[in-house]
Amino acid sequence: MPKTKLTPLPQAAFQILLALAGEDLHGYGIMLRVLDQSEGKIKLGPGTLYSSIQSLAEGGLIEEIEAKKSSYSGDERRKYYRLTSQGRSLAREEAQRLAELLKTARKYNILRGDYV
Amino acid sequence: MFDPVLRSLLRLYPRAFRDQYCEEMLLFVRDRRNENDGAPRQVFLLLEFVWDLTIALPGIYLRDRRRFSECSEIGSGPITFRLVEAGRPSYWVVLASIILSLGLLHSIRSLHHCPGEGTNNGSAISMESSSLRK
Repeated sequence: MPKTKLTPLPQAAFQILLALAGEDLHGYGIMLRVLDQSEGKIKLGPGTLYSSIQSLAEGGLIEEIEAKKSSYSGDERRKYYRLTSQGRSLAREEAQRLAELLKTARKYNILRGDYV
Repeated sequence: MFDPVLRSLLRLYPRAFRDQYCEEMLLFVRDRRNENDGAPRQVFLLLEFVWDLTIALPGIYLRDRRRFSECSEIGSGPITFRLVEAGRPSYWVVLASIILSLGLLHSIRSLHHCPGEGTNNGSAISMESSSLRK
């Protein structure tokens, strides 16, 4: 992996990995998916989005795939991105790390209720 | 107004990043604009992009710079090759190249104008050898 700061995974990068876990998406599709999965809390701008995409692609966590006919606009100039197996395992590790953190927060009564 | 401002903003990104993602970013912005009708919302959208740019730009430049300074080694054992990734050269390298090029140009020009000037020692040696023969 190149020397990019991907551990711990930045929030935007983690959200992008989660968005791509379901299906291959282009930039705008990723933004919409992230907005949806974060319940409207995270709206990625073009700079943040493509900067994160660049880091993730350089780290081999996502890969660019051939353009396909988009159901959204049918624009073939768009690049689509796919989660690699390396990206999937890193997303899993990050989720586990967050789950353990949550467990600790529950243990000390910082957080109550059924969040997970 | 939106497009010229946007293109100026995109020019602020490093060239390598622009080459790779500029077209996609324009498509992205086009989609966002389609979501937001009306002048006030478009202005708000533009401000959102400016804000996003100020957040993302330092990281992109740092990464870009790091990439240029990175070297990768090929091979193992006594002989290894270091590949320096092509990128923006430092100012000192540019300055040294200019000075070297000017020096080379000057040498070529002086050789072209007076081709025999540099062979004084040679002529002295030939004179000595001719006197020895005598």
